Amino acid sequence: MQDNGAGQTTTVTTTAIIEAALFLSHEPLSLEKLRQICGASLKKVKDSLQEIRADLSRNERGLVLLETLKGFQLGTKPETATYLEKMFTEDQINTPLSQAALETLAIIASKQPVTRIEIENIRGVNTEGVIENLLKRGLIRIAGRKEGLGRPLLYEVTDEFLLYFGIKDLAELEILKGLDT
Amino acid sequence: MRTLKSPKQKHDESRYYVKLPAFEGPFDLLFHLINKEEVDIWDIPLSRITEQYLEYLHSLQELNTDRAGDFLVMAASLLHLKSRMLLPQAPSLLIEREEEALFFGSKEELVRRLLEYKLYKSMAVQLKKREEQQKKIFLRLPETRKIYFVNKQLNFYGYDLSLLQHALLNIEKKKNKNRFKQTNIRLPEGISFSKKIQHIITRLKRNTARLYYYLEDFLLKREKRETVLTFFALLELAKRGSISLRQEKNTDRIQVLKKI
Repeated sequence: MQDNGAGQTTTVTTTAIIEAALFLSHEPLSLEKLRQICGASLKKVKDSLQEIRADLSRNERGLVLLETLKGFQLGTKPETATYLEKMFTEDQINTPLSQAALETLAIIASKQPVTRIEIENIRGVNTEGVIENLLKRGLIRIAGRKEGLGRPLLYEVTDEFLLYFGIKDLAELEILKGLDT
Repeated sequence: MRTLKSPKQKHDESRYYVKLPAFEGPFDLLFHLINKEEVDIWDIPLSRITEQYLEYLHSLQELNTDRAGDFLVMAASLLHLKSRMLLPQAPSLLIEREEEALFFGSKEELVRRLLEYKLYKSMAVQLKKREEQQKKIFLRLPETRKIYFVNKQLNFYGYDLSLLQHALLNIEKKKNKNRFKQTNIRLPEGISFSKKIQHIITRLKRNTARLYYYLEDFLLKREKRETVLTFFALLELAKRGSISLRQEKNTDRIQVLKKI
């Protein structure tokens, strides 16, 4: 049933097509998109993803299957990180976010869309530079302007934010809120 | 040979240094002080905490002027609250007004603000953990797009020279089609560079509701010479920092924004 090789000499399984598509893509592929690519049922796509995930969990494999809001994507196994870092120069790897940046992101993600003043009221400290940096890194974006005096800019987090922290959706973020240090 | 320590050095060594941790803001510092006291947040010993807060500010050799303001507002807020709690309750109407510059007007509000800050501070810790996990996973770079272009055009396993030649010719053809015919460009008469710049600024300022324009909004539907002039004017404005140009990702339309 899954042999959809269009009468050619080799048979191709849905799992193989999905694996190839994930390998090629540089952005998450949604279930729907994967279904379109391989022309199989949604159930079959889900089963194949499960199969790929199980296969990748073996020690011999160097990849992981990631699931984000936008869909599925392949990444490298965390355990390989120390070796892979040798492929890059220092400036090619993101510098970790500062405490100030993390606090600001936490506020924006929870209360978005928010203005800078609202963020500063909570943190008790000027946040202008932090916001500029977060905009530059693509973790937040301008969501519009707030009605009222001065029509200040509103900010919200981006999909890049979810990807950066490996968060599936904002509901998952709510869980983070409950955890204490 | 033994080296003798100079008396000055000895003196320095005997000095007592305290390394002070850096705080993210006045709420962060206040939190630290309350935690050290090991008291419930609702029973903060206000005068002791205020004292320690001021002590900390004094202990800093120099206050970074950028951040000093926020820390001093907190000091003022704490002192204000302390003095109010010492005095018999004044009619509240008069006092409420003048408090806008302060962080909080009552102890309840202070506690509420502290708790709110604590929530986000602990969330930031969780995000930090996530960042550390996530940093170990590498993803494909957007540039890989080129790989599939090559594979589609040429069959890797059976290519011969004529195929390569064919591909090369195709590229040349495309290049010629896309290339602008070379022309000598004279500036349009009656409009100067500085006027053009002025035009763009006026246009951006006129419509305050609109967050950004697209580059094409300025460039389309014009004579070629004016298009070039407008383009240069936009570049100049970007260089001066009066506007910023933004593109969400490769091949997206370019946005022109007023500088905030």
